[in-house]
Amino acid sequence: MLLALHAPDGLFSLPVNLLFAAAVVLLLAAAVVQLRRQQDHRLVPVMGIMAAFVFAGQMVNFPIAAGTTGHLLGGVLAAVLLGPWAATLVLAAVVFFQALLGDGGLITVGPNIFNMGVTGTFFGYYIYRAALAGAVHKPARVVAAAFFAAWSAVVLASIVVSLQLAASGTAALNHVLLPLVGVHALIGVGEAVITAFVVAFVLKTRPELIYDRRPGPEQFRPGRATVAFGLSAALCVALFLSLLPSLWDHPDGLEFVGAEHGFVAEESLLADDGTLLTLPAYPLGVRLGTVANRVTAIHQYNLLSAGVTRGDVIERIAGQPIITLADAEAALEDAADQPLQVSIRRADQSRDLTLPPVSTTLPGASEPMVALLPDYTVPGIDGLISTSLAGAIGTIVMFLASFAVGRLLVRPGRLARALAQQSALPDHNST
Amino acid sequence: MHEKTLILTETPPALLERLEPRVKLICVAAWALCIVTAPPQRWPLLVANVAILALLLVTNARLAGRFVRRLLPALPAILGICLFLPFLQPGEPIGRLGFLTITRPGLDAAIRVGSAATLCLAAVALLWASTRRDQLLVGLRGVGLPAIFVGLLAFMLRYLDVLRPELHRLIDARTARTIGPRGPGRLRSGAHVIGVLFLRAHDRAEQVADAMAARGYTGELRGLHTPHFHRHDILAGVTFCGGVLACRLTLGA
Amino acid sequence: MPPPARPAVRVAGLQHRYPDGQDALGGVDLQIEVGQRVAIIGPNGAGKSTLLRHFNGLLRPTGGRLWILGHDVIPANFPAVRRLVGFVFQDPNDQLFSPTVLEDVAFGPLHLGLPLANVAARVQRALAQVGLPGFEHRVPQRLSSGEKRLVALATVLSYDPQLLVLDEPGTALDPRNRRRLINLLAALTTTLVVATHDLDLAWETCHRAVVLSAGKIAHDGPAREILTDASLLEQAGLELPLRLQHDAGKAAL
Repeated sequence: MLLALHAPDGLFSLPVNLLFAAAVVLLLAAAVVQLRRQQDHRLVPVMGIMAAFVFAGQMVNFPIAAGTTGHLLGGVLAAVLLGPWAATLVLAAVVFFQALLGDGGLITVGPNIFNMGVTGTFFGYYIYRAALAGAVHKPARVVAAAFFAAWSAVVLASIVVSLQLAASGTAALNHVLLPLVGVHALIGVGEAVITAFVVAFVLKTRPELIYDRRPGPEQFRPGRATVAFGLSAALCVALFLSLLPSLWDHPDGLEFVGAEHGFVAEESLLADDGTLLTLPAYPLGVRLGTVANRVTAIHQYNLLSAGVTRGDVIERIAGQPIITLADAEAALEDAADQPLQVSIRRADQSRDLTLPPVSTTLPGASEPMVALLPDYTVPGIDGLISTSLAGAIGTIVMFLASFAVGRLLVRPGRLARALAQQSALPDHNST
Repeated sequence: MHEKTLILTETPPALLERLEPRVKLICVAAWALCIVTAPPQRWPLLVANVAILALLLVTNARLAGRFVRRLLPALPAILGICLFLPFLQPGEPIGRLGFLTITRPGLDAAIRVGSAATLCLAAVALLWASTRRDQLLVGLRGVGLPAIFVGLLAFMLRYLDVLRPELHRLIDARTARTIGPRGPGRLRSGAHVIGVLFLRAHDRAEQVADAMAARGYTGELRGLHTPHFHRHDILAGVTFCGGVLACRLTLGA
Repeated sequence: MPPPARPAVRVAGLQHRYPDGQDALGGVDLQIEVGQRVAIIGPNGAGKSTLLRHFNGLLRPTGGRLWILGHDVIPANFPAVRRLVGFVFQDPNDQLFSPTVLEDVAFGPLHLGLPLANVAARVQRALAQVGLPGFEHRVPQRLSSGEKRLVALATVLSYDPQLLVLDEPGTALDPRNRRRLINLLAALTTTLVVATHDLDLAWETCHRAVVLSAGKIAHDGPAREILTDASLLEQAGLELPLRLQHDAGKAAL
């Protein structure tokens, strides 16, 4: 249920409301300017009736499963049929009117228009265009592009809503992000399917009504579309995935693997009151923990095998009896740079091992291995938003860099010609 | 000027109905801003806002029926969201519901959002109850919304009443033809309904555009109404906004 | 007094081809003098609506030319032509697109450049003429279909066109409203062109009938002659007007 997308008053804080209202106003102004340039005097009645169509279309209910019904949002559909600017105005009018009806708050109309309109009609449209990559005369491609764009738009909208909620302080990001996005990833499929069906229907009956099929001077420019697609997709991925690990306190994947194998130093795990839960014991080549009140090797670092294996109970280190992990920690510190005498118990048999001297932490390293992947954060901002924002910025930078390099290496003409050949564009009179 | 020569409705309009629509829009916006920016847990402020609402309703009892009809359908959506909020904020836990925890900050958020949303909803419902549709559009244009947008809204409102019956006809036709279990077929026929509705809407749009062109429309919508403020409009507007702002600043400090 | 030099409508070799290649009109020659009342009759798909839509430039010919009151119907002349032609559409919902009746009836005068001061008076007069005085503040979507048709007529009467063109005016009207419409049309003095397959309406309102069949004019003559010729009508895919069928049946008895 797209409940949260029709946000009532008070759900978002005033700064968030104003920020998105400003963004919406800017986009609407741009839309009005663009449309005026088209000098089509039929625009106002056509858009008005299209708005009525979207409004009415949102009332069609699609029974999903076990008594629940779904509804079409229609942002991407409107953009595929009317073009991004007209569709933005149309959806804005619909959402605005719904706010006047009480479906969605007054002050929150800015974010609401953004979430329910702009993500679909604007971002969704350019995702659609990029996915099309010029093949506007291939019906299957158009339908598939519309499908993907509609799904992406719904997911994007849910991400934006989560960020809005978090930035407003109404809900914590790690409580709300996964449920909202997860649910909308599913709902998005419904939206995508319906959108695809309607687009297919129109393609079959009146194909000239698809916006990008109009005969006219606007030619496809694959370069821009590719940028738009790449950027949108990359941003979505960056935002979504960058938040995932942070939510569960998992270190980055590479660090995790490194820690498991023993070439990236890990920290000991502490309980709330400060007692050790795990202890990396690099001289022994194992991670120590407490199992049944005994200090035991719970994980073996593959790269550091020293004779101690997983499951061994540590009884003595350098002659010191080991009862708790704190004892082990102290004993290991004292025994630096000397051959180590360790008593272990394995399968009900005590053994004594002599281990070669190891420097304090890792073989061949005097301190934790190079921080391969430092946690990038935006200076001045704390917390999850910081990491994900940094991720997004990093993605944009990477993308722009690679695109720039690509443009420098490949002359535009060649690129356009190659793509045009691939999609067999120039023919206008395909029926 | 034009309206004075033409006949108006017979029954005496309620106080709010006589106000100029622009003034009403500005008052609603100002009130909503005050409500939304109210710091949490200021109970006197909440009571004051409710009292203002009650006062407006009492002095415009004629509108009560329309007001309730506008208010009720939108309440369930607000309640639904407020039901989720207590679980979404980390903080001091109050209770448990299965594996979900209700926290104090979450509960506060729920109450804050619920009261703000309901109050704003009431303000809008009152606006609707006291303003004719065409007057509302004139008011929106008057407060600065661009003509192309207000024109869009006007056409949307007009043709919603044409498309809705068409939609119902299509849905009835679909229901009449559908037997059997729910499934992807339902999605397809629902999409079919939407597709046909789009084509019909598009055809109608062409006809309407033609009708407008036939009567001289070349792209610029010319209006008949030149809205102007009366003294009592300004007085009412200033009093209301002043009152609401005063409450917000004093009781919400 | 000598007859006016310019005919109301002059059509020479008019051709219209649809975008998909179909021929709608295959060369139409027609002349209508000022003050004449002409019924364009023919079966569905004969091209009646298509022909009429050329009269005020809603459609452009793919071949041939036409003049309205001496004006060549080309885009440069559209404003002048549309001031002279009042087109009543088949579906009144396409014609009544404003929030109130007042704005709809005023739309023509406003957008055709008539002086603002007279507009209110024109609206009143037009509504009185169609028998709906006081309907200014009514909302189009709430009117009955008969009232809608009459208001649609008022929307073009308000700017005093010299040529009235009606596309299937009698469709879906109950007997009483149909009678009202017929009486109205009979009382008008402007040049009238009515496209219809309601031959009884044609009989009562027009004195000349033009039979259109498959995009060409099949017959053109006095209404009384054409509408009583059963074989001619049958050839064109039509039947005798009901009133005549009844008489024929009586005579047979």
